Amino acid sequence: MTSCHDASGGLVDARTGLAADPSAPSVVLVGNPNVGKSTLFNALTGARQQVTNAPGTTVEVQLGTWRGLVGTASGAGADEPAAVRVLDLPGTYSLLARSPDERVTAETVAGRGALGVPDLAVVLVEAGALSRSLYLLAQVAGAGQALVVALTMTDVAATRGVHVDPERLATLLGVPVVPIDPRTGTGLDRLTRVVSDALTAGVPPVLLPDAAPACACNGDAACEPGCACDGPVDVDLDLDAELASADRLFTWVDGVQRALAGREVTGACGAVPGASSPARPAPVRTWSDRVDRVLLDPWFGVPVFLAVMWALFQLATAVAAPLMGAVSSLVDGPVASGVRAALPGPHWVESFVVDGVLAGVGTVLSFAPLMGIMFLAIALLEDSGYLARAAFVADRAMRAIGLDGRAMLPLVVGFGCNLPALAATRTLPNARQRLLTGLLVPYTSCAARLTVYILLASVFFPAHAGTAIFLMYVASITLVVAGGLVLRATAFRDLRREPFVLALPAYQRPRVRALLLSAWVRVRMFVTDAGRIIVITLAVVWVLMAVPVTGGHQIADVPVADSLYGRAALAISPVFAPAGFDDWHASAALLTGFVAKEVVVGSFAQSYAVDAPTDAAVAGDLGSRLRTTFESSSGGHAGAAAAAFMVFVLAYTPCLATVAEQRRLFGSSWTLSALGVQLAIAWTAAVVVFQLGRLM
Amino acid sequence: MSMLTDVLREARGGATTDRIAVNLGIDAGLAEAAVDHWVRLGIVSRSGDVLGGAGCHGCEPTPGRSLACAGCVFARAISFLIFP
Repeated sequence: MTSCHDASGGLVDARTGLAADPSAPSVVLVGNPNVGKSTLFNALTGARQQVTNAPGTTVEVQLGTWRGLVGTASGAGADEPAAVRVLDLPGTYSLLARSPDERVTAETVAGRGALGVPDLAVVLVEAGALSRSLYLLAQVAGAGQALVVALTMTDVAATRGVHVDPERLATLLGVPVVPIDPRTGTGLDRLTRVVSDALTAGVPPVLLPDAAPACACNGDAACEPGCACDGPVDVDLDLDAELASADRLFTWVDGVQRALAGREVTGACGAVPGASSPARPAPVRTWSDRVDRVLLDPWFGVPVFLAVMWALFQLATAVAAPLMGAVSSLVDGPVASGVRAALPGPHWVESFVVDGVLAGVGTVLSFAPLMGIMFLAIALLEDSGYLARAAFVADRAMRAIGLDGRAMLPLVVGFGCNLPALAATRTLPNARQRLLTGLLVPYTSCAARLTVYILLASVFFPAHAGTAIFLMYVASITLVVAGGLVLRATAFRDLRREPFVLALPAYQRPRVRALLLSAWVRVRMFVTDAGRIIVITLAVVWVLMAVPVTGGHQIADVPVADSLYGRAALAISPVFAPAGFDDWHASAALLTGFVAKEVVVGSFAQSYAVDAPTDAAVAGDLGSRLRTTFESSSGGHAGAAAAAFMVFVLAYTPCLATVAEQRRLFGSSWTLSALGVQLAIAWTAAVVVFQLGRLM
Repeated sequence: MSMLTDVLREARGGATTDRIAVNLGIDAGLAEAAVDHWVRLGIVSRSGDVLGGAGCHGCEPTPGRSLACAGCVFARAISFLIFP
């Protein structure tokens, strides 16, 4: 079977020449996804069909000839009956298209498709999903398209106790309704006859409400009962004709359904066969509603959210700590010894592999259990429906302080990773809103920073590690909110608040297998992706450590303090004296942290390993060395210095990739300004934390 | 008050689709269709589309996307889950 497009972009079947005959009548099949359109199409056309792309798109549509049906195209000026072309359009729930597939359907129904203006639409209405089907039908009819209805899946609906009377539906709609079963062929002969008649004699329009709004009293006290106008909803919407039209259609669909169910009431304001019943039964409160009353409460919701997050970090640190220790011992002990023994050649090779790469990778590997628990817990919250509630509460809190709720979504994503969060700003409709949100995203504490928090919190605050980490997230939220308020009050005073609503899912029982699979895949990606970055970065760092700049040492045989890396770190370390960590190990870790925060811990491990590779037993493990370093640099206030270091890690540049993404999205000047502000905030906050901490 | 704005108001108040249907006395499918209409207008976002791991579908490492997104753990994980 061959297919191509003709010069005008129309669909052409080279074998049948279907589109070469524009006077041939055309019928389109329209319906929701999975309503049986393709089955019907196959049954109607048999082998006389082709698959081709809709003009100008990559969307595949099926074109064929309706077997046993001839007709005359309306308005084509042709009197000779011809074979009827039939086009199977992509399924959609609405003609308000969101995807290329749906756009093809909407364009075709509107008469702007390959077939020109279709002579007739066969709208497939699923008996068990009448609302959505009728809404689409109303849109098709509203577009001025003549149509007949094919009622499908009546047997499936019947098993659920839903019985749709085709005759009653036809009366309500004003157009023919033919029950069919495309799988068995039931009703297809009748459908063919009805379509033939429609093509020959035409069909009346669907009994839609007229163009006037179904309820247009706008709060007028004289409005009739049943047309409840409770005043405008508190949303700044530019209500256009689309909304008014859609509202009429929804009211009409509701009326048709009520009439079908024998609950027809007299429409008070519009020419619809039914209207909202004035006497509604009192809604029954389910357990889900009761839970939501607490979780979504403005006063309880935020504390509950914070409590959940605190418990999450407590659980993660408590459960992960022994696992992390075991992995770390394994890598530092037997694995490192084995690699040392297996490596031939000069000492620098062993130094590079064991003290350079393995030290860093091993440390990050030890975080795999923690990340696994975190991913699992977050997936659990997400799958159960709680994460959406947390976002809902956060949205409301953001609004309460004058920030746009819509900006909250990328920020929530930012707590996982700043990169997709920046990408998510593209969903915001306003360029200034995208910029504002993109400037705030780096202050959301991503998962990579968690590795630093975990290390330092477990070393310096072992009894309260979970609380310390939790406080870092509170600090992150505080930075985002404070930054947002400052920006809104200064550079973004002109920003308009966009209407935004988050549709909440129902609670559901978490799916264990999906959760485990999701957590496993994410941990694996964390290890492999982070591992790749770490290996590359630490290899570069090792080379910098191997280049002597003072002391007349040989390459690859130089104390770190005399290396290029050490001297650079030493040069900037005084900057951090007011924050209590003016030590080259710390400043070097922060330097490498510009590449990615996953590298910070590895950098610590590597610099200590290279610095004193042979006397690890004397120097102690990484934690002991860190404590010694911070005690020394802070004058005995190691805890305060560690807290200041964590705050600095939270506030300064997340990683090079986010800088590149910010530059791509917002340009160089905004990105450089943001970088400067991040460093200034990070330094100031770290100094404040340390200076306050040393007083405690 | 129109049905669409009623649905929007209920959603803003934190009602699920089923609860919207119950509160407004309409069919659940109709409530779903109304919510879908607001989603299509960009006024309402479904939490499943924008939050958590699923919210990262917008930066899958596909041609035309940012190279930076290729390093996104969540996006790659989701891609794997959808296209294993």
